[in-house]
Amino acid sequence: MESQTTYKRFRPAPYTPKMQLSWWWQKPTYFAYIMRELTAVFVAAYAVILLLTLRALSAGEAAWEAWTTTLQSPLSIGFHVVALLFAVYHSITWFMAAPTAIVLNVKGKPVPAKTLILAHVVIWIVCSAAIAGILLTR
Amino acid sequence: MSKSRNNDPFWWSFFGAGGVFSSFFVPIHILLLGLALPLGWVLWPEHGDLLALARNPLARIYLFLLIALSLFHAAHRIRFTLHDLLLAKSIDTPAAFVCYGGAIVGTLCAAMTVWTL
Repeated sequence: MESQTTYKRFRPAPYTPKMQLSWWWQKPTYFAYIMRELTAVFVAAYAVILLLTLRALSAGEAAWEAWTTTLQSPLSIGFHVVALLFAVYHSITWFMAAPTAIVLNVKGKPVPAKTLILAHVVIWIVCSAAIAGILLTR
Repeated sequence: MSKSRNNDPFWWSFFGAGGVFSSFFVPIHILLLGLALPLGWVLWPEHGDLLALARNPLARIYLFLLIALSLFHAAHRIRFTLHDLLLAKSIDTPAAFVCYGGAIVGTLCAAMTVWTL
């Protein structure tokens, strides 16, 4: 009997994408994406700071004085500068993404993306002015 | 037909609402309370006036929504970013618990603070 031909089963190597942890440093668009996502860290951090501000406010005048002094420290100022940059980046990227989520028709015609983004910016300015007005005219 | 259940739409709705709310209102709060007032660009309102303002029912609702929705927005985003940054699917379930859990705790704290202001 002749030796049988042995067949090898066709086993393609499983596809393992080679991605490194530093993937988001490799292209500006990747980096911008991660920066956009990281705005969430600052949004969350600021929500906590706002909560602490309210607690200090309700804890009486002495606690409030202490809190406002803390807010004047270089560490606090530095944090708020960075947080503001990230918060503004969050707002801008959010408004830019809005047209993909909102489909608005006026008189049967879709509202152009640019108009929607502009509307968001206008609302943003109005909201900010309203909060500033309410807070600073006390 | 798959009958798989997915709770993503539930969390996404808070992510969306929080994204809208925080994009409109967070920057001005950081600018005023974190920079303009501490650096003396504008004068601090009196403690009593500020407290009276915060105790306004509309202000209480506003502050609660701002804090709670911002937390849920951030929780959802951080959850998925951790997955992308660490390239590990295994992180997803613990990350979801920590992120949404943190947002829930923060929301309860916000509710209590705003209620007893």
